[in-house]
Amino acid sequence: MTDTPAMSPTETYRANLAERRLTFQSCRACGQTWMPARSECPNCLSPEFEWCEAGGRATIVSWVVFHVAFDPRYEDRLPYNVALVDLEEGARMVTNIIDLPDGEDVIGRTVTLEFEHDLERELPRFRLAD
Amino acid sequence: MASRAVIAGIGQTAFGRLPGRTTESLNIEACRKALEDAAIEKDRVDGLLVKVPTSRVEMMYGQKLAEAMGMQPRFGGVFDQGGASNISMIGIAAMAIEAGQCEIALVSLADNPKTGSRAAYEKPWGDAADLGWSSVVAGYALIARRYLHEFPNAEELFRDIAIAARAHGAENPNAQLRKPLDTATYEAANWIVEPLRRDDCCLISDGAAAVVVMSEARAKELDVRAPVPVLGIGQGNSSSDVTLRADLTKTRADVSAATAFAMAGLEPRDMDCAQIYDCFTVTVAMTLEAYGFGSFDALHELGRAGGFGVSGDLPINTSGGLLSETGMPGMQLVLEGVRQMRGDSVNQVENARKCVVSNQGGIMHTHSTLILGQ
Repeated sequence: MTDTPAMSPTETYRANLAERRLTFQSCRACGQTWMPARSECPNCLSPEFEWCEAGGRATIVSWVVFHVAFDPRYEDRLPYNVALVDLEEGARMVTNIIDLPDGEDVIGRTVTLEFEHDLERELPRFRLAD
Repeated sequence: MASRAVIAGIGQTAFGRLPGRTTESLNIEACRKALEDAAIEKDRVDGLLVKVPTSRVEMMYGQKLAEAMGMQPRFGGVFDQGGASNISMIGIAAMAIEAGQCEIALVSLADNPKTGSRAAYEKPWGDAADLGWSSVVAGYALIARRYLHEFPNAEELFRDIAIAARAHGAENPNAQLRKPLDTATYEAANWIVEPLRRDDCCLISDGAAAVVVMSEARAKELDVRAPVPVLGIGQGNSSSDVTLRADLTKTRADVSAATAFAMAGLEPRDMDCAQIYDCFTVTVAMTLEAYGFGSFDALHELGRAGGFGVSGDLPINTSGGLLSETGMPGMQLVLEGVRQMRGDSVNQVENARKCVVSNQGGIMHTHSTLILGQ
């Protein structure tokens, strides 16, 4: 996969998601990986990057449970969770955990990618692996 | 610095719901009162620094306020670090005075998210917005969850921080929320974004507060009634989006404090009280640790022993903080630091001679530290 100049990095990321591919950027100069999409490497500032597809395994860094919906689209989904996960390949992303057990500390647990068709797009969510 | 700066005057509006007032009007009231407190004529002021309101972000706000106050300041404008701006601007004013760029500066903050817009606090974040990722409180909840993972009984520390602030606010006639908090009420309150409960979260408030900054020599010359010396100033910026922060429970607050303590030639143990930015209780826990007031275990024990109260070992947020006095982002803490050093706080710490004040902004993106003393 290479960057298409006509598309912004965010547009490329979204287009890949639409094909149910979760991708992150990797710096051609220093090897740094990152999300969310941007046009320069935050480590060495190089604009030369490539897109890589995530294998789908990640580790939970932290998570929260919304009991108030600031976004009206989520009003009828309360309570819902938002989690932060580190992909096996290094980049970090915001996601939701499907079937998150109540009252358990899940920080450090392994999760696997599971796309869900929701809000008229393919959303990258994760599920506990063990 | 070769010549010390002082806070020569303080002023504030009422705190709470102030319908029908613009932020310019609130700033003007706070500045007028700060000038009255310092007994300084407006025409002597040649510096005006102001934090842009969260309720309505606009360009050239500093000039808009200067115009509304009939001023053409030599030195002035907006400096934006969110809630850390207040202390940073006091530092900038002190440096500008030292460098001969101005002589007497007003530093002011007004905001009105209570009657105006609170969209800045509730907005969805980037591409993850479709996953329900939104709001400032949720960012702090991510930090709090990680903190609870590292320190499983941190909830008791959060609770004791909230109880202390609310006890102090209850005694403060200017506080927006004058209702003391107890353990049962804290634990029974609903979650906002778990693991943060209602009483872990600051108020939403309209209001303003301002200070007058000048050199110590000028204050003496002008016979200012109660100048309070600025002993130390520092800042530190974590900058990264909270979701990308390598360690969610570490910020650059330690760098900010180290800079300020080094400038003052003082240490945390020299402080008689601390006004710590308490947008959320977890912020206070992390800031006290980063400042060197003790490990988590020491702070946890201090909280359990009532150490955060006015007569405790480490009195914090003695006017009620953001949790009880006003949710306004930070200048009220500076005003309370000044009152403690003057000896006229409603919750006066006996023989208080040194006070540290923290400000921070964003989701712990920015941090600034002020050390006041006598």
